[in-house]
Amino acid sequence: LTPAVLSAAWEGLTLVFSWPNILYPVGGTLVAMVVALLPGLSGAALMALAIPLTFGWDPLHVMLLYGALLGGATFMGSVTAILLNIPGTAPNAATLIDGYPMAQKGMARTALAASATASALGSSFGVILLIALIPVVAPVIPKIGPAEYLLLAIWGLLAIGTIIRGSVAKGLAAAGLGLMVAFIGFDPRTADPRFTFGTLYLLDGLSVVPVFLGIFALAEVIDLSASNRVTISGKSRVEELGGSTIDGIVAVFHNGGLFLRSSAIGTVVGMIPGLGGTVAAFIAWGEAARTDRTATMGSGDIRGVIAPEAANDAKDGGSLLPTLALGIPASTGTAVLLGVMAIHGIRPGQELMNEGLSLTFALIWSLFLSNWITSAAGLSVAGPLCRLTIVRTRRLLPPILVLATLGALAYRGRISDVWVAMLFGVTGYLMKKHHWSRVAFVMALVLGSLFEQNLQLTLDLQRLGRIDFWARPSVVVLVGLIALTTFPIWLRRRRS
Amino acid sequence: VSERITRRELLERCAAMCGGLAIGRGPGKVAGLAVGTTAAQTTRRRTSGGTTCLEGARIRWIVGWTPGGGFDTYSRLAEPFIERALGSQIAIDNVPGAGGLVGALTLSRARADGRTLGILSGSGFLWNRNPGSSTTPDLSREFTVLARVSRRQQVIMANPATGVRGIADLIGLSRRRAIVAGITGPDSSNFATLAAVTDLLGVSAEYVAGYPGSREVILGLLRGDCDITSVDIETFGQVPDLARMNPVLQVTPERSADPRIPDVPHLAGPTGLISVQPDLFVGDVARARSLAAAIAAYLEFGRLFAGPGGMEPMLRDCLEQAMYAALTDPGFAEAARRAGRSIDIVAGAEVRRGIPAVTEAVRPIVPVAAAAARRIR
Repeated sequence: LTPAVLSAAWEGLTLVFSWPNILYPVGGTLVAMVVALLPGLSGAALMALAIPLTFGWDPLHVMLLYGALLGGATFMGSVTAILLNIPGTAPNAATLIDGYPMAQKGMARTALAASATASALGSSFGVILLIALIPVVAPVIPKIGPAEYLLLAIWGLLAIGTIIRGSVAKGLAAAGLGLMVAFIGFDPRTADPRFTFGTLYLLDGLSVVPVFLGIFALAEVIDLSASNRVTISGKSRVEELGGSTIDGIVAVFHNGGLFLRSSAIGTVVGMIPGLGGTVAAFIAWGEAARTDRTATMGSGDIRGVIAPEAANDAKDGGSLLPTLALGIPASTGTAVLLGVMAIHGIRPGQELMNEGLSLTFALIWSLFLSNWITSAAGLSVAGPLCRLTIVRTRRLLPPILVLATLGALAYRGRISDVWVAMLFGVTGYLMKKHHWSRVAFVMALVLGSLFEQNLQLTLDLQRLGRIDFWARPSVVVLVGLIALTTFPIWLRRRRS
Repeated sequence: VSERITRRELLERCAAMCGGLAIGRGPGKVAGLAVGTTAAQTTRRRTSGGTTCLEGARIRWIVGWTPGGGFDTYSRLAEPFIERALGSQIAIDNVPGAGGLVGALTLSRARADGRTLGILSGSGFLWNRNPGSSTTPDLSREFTVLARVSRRQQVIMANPATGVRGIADLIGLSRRRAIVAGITGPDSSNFATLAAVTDLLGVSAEYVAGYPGSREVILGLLRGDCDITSVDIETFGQVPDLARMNPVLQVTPERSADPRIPDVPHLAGPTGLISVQPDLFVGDVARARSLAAAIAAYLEFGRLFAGPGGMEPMLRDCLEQAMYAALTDPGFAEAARRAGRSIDIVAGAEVRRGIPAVTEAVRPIVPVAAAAARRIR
């Protein structure tokens, strides 16, 4: 951290908090929060929609707005995920695995507070790491290639083994089904269509958003309708609900090690182009499940809320690194950011990292501020919102059904997404009823294409002599990490 | 105020525009009034310069790529100008997948009523680049081209670690070992360019295919995954580290004036390498010239604004005029310049007239690309 960097950081901070500049991050955050509450609409979609609005704006105001839009949408999606089993955005699907069971136990307030706290602290972790590591990590990022991406995917997929409860065969079959669904669409290497049945809709594969909305939210609607459960939490009065906002905040500090690990995973995954928040959240959740000795993950364990939320928000800071330093977007959101920057004549790279450093910091602080605003809002409404879990299900089911259906429709404006959500709603219900792991299914779905794409690239590069897989230090480190995190669990299970 | 309308009239207009939201009391009414006033002003401004064929209509604009990329940026840059020229509202719909094919198919299958338009990679549909799929649409029959917004200018870039600084180095390296080229897939335009250029030079190439996007291919080149790849010249402005790579050949019919690639020879045309140094290329000179011309023609087709095929001639002409007016607006040129995007506007009629000739001209690439694709498959 040189004096020039610190001075630029201070200048960026004063730019953000000066009047009327502050209106841009605050306004952008509020808009992003509202949009993120509607399932299916992501921050990236909002960022793309806002592009024409910014024509003629000062570049500083553009950066302030987009920093806020980038950060403002990440936390709010977890509110519907925890309370109603509806993932607001795709990464929040990892949060609902434990968040919704917590709501069912009457602990929604604690889950929401833990999610908000992990989100705010996770984003701060990512931003601090971003500031500290810009000069060190930027040259390293291009060196991370398909071999490392492949190992990350394998690491995530191996976590499926730790989350399967009950029948191993059913768990593996669910994971296999997830992989099969992930392989629908064009073969990434040969561009040949697979499992598309000649339909245009399947050419690019199934999108995870309608699948998540179906397999979690709509399946829950069917399950609640079929059950005699009166409310989500099984309680009818607020006083009967357990947990508190303070418990949620304290839980993040109590699980400090997990929080730091998850934030580090989020930041690193965020730095890698093409992975994004969904992969970060699921890998972090998988890592939390791997270190779980109580076998409570997936059934309402607060660690299952902290890990994906910390990772999902930490990834924002990480994803800015390749975007600003190299001009390589790490996620859809940062791709839109790059597009907007180009439209306004802001070029990534050395220029932005030297002469334009205060502008870069304005973006970073805006992202930082938006994450704290959303989390503060989340903490303040955790109490009132948890009352949703004591509303009678016959009143709650129609809005959940409408929200999930609208979310599938709003995602891309295609009615086919609604049919897919419904199909997976029925599938999800049947999986739940017959104890097939839905988590194994979605983890395989999220990581399947990453695995396939990078397996093929790695094999090609090895065959052509472009890489020597085992001679890469990063490969050795990652293989060691996989062995260290997987072998003890295998040993423990074998002994028990 | 300028039209001297009463508050009541203004409220009625608000109600019409805001779906009745403005009718109410208290703060809601004031907010509705403000929104309605803005909407009324916007509508007046739009209709003032608009044509009549789709005035007031809502147009779905299909982009077959994710937000933030080149095609998306061109669309968003042109959006306000087209809206003004047509007096319509445009909603950009990103339908990514399969290198723009999913978006193109969505566009080609829409009703040809002018309410669904979009941007295409024109060169992508001059032949079926994907024999595994029977769904690749035909440019002349399944689309109505309304304008060309830019042509594509590609450069073959080499990783400096290979020692390749020019065509002669590339040929020399290929005599020692196969050249490794990075591509997104065998259905991409950078693959077609590389397949044709390596065939012309008699260079044996192996392909690393399957990168999710062109920027990931560039990242692969920076990392040393491959020796060469083909990139659009304007990518230089987006990925600064590209400047560290060695530009080898401009795949254009004339030398680009871009200062970032000085002294880099170009391929086709009377001053191109194919004419100046024909001995660099293998096989029959006439065949080599026709293949070089084919690549240049292929890339020249560039980025097109289009609608579905079978559009009524009156509607087509109206849309074409509006597109041309929008794209030749000095404001659009300035916006594109600021964004580092080159523009080269050609009217739709001219592009449509040229499709049969270009389709014929690019024919020599088809067997070359198909043979290279078979090796990947």
